[in-house]
Amino acid sequence: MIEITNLHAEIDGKEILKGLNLTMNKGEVHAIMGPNGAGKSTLSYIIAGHDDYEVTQGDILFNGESILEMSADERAAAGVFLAFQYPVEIPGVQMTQFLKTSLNAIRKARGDAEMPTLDFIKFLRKKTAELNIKDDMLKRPVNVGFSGGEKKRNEVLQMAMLEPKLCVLDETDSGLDIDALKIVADGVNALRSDERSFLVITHYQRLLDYIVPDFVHILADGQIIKSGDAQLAKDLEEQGYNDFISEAA
Amino acid sequence: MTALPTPKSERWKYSNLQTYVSDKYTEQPLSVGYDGDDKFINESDTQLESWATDVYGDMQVWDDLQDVLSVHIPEDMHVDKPVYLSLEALENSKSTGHINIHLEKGASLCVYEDITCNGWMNRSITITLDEGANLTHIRTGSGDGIATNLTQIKQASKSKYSAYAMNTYCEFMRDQIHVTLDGADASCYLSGAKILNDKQHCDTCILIEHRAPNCYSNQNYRNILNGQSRGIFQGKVHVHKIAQQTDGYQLCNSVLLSDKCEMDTKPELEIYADDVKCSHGAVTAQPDSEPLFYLMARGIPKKQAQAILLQAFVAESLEAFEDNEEIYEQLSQKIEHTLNA
Repeated sequence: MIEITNLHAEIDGKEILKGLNLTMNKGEVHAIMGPNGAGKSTLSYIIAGHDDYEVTQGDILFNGESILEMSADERAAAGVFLAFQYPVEIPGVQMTQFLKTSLNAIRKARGDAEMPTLDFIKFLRKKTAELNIKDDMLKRPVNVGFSGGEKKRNEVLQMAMLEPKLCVLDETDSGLDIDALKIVADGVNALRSDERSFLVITHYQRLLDYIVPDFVHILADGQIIKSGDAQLAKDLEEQGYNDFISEAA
Repeated sequence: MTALPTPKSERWKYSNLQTYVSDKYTEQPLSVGYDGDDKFINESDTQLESWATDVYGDMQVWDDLQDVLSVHIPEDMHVDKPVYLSLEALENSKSTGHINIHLEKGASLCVYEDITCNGWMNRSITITLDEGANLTHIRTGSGDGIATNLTQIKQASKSKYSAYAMNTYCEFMRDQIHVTLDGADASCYLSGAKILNDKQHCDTCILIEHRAPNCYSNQNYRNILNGQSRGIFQGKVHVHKIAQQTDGYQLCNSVLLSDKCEMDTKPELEIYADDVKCSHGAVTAQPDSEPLFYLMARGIPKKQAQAILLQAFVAESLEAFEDNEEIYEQLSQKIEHTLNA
C-alpha cells in the first residue's frame, strides 16, 4: 500500500524528517507515537502533499508508484486522505456545497460521473446519521464555529464519503472529550476494511484503546526508532518517551 | 467650471484625476434610460433637492448639470417591481447627469443602476428617505472609461438604506458617498466589492454622518486586486454630539493576487458623543495557503479551489442581502463571472 524509504524532508531550510522508513500493507492499522517536535505532523503533511515541505531525499511509493511529484488533489484522487489535526475554517463556503464539490472532483479524477444531486443528498444523510452530525452543521460554512468534536467528526464524515485507500489521522484525539472521542473512533472503526489502511498519529495512548492498531512505531527526531505491536503503546505510556529515546540512542 | 481636484487635497491624495482626463472629452448629456413604473419617474423635473450640496466642493457635479431624472415614491407605497436605471457615457464624451430619488414616509423601493462608461461619466444621485422609508440600491457596470460618482443620502428617522456597488469596470473610478443619518433609529448598510485588474484605479470615499441618536451604520467591503491595479478605501464615520447610542461598523478586507497591485485603506472615526459603539477593521493580504491546501487535500484541483476561495471571500460583502435571494444570486453570479473572466 505505502512504502516510505529513507525520507528526508525540511521546511524553511530546517530538516525535520531524517531518514524515515515505514511500510504498510493493505488493511493494516499503524500508529505513530512520538514526543512533540518529533516530526509526526510533518510526516502527515508530506504524505498529503503540502507545498511548504520539501523532500530532499528518499521516496514515498503508493501502490508501487512514487507520489512525490503529485499535487495534493491528485493524491486525494489516488486515495490518500489526511484527517487534519486542526481542520481549517473556510468562511463563505457552505459545508454541503464543499462536500459535493469534493466528492465530484474525486469522482471525476477517478473517471466516474458526477453524483446526481438527489443521490448525493441521500448518501450524505446516511453518513451524517452514522456520525451523529446534525443538519444544522451542514448549513454552516466549513468548520466555522464548529466545536472541537464537530470539527473531528466532520473530518471522519469526509473520510467516509471519499472512500480513500489510505487514511492518515493526525492527532485526531486532540481537543476531544471522551464521548466525542468514542464517536470519532466508532466512525473510524466502521471504515476499517481489508482494502483500507490507517496511519494513526497520536501523542497519547488513549486513542489506541479505541482504534486498536496492528503495529505501533515510535518517532523521535525525524526517524522511527522502535516498532512493535499494540503492547508497545502501553509500555510507552507507562515509561514515558525519554526512556525509549535514550534506549534507542 | 472649477478646477479639477488634485492629490493636494486630503480626500483626493490617492487619486490623480487629472492624469486620466484630457481635452478629448466633449460635453454630452448623460444618457439615462429606465425601466420601471412610469408614474414614479419624471424626466422633466429639474428641481434639485434643496439640501443637496457637493459637501466637500470637490466633485464638480454641479457644474454643467445637464439632466435630472426624478424617482418619487409616495407615502406608504411599496413598489414590488424594481426600477432599473441605465446610464451611459460614450467614448470621448464627458457626460454629467443627476438623479433624484425620494421615498416618502413608509415607502419602499429597489433601484438597480447599471453603468456603461466608455467616456467620462460624472454622475450624481441624491436620495431622500423620509420616515420609515426603505431603499435598496444596487449598482453594477461595464466599460473602460472614467467614472466620478457622487451619491448623497439623507435619512429621516427609522429609514433604511442598503447599497451594494460592484466595482469591476472603468479604468478610473471615484466613488464618493455621503450619508447623513438625520433622524433617530435610521440604518444604513454600505457594501460592495472591487475586482480589479491591469491598471484599473478605484477610489471609494465614504462619509457617514451620525446626526441623530440610536442610528446604525455598517460599511462592509471586499476587494480582489490583480495586475497593476490600485484600490483605495477611505471610510469616515462622524458621530455628532447628539448621536448617542450610535452603532457604527466598518470592515474592508482585500486580497492581493500580484506583486504590483496596491490597496490603500484609510478608516477614520470622529466621535463627539460619549455613548457609542464604533469599530473598524481592515486586512490586506495575499491569499491564505492553508484553506487552499485543505480544499486540495479533498481532491479539488488548485485552480478550482482558488476560485472557490476568492468567490467566498467576495461573497462576505453580500451579507446585507443574505435574506434577499434574488439580489444575492444575481450578485453572486456576477462575482463568479468576473472572477472567471
